[in-house]
Amino acid sequence: MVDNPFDEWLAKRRNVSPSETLVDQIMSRVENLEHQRPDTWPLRLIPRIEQSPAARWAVCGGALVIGGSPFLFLAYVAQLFTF
Amino acid sequence: MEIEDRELVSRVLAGASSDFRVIVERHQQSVFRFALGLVGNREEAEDVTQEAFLAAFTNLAGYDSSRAQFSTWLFTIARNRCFNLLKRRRPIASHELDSIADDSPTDPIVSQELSQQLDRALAALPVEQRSAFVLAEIEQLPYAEIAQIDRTSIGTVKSRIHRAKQRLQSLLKPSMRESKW
Repeated sequence: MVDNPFDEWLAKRRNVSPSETLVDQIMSRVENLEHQRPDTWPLRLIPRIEQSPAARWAVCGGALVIGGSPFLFLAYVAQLFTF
Repeated sequence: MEIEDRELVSRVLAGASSDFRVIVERHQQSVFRFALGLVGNREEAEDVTQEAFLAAFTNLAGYDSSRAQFSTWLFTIARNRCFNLLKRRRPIASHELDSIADDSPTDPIVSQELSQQLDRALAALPVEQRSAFVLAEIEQLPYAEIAQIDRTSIGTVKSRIHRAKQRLQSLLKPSMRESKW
């Protein structure tokens, strides 16, 4: 039980709800947006990598292999020459 | 167990757009109430709510959970949308306001007239005061969060709420002035 008209008015304001179809209307517009948007799979990959430890290790390993490959190539080529 | 907003945002960003429905269902009522408090009529409040959620969905990658709660970020978007709408719009005529008094015309305590008077008084407040008042008194958010949404200091928020209450009192009938807020 509220004790004054102002609190009564506030209580009514707090109980106001939107129409029941609002969620569906929003989601329908979201789906339309999704269809119109170009495929951004590389962008979506980032949060997936952040979430999965295995994916993080795979990315680190890949970066290490790519980063180390020039040195491996140099080491291989160096064997072919006599100094 | 309820999934946190932060987790849901990560899922949506990872491609599970359907999880955005959970976010919408969770926050639509509070965003709508806030928009209704600012713009004054249901139709425009629903439009603003839709636009705010669409803007949130489009810019979801820009949300930083270390800086603010998701609801704070969402309220900030809704606030900006409402402010833009109010800038474009001519002043509201009092008959255009959707009074919530219509919901319970046989209320024993508050007459429909008094409730409508409060609605009009709220609509007549300067928009910054209205925003702070709605967030504090209707959404019952802490001052720190309101300051974040309104991008101002806690002191300014407190003074806006105080001035809003004073102004509401001064705009109302003498019968309301007597009641303690």
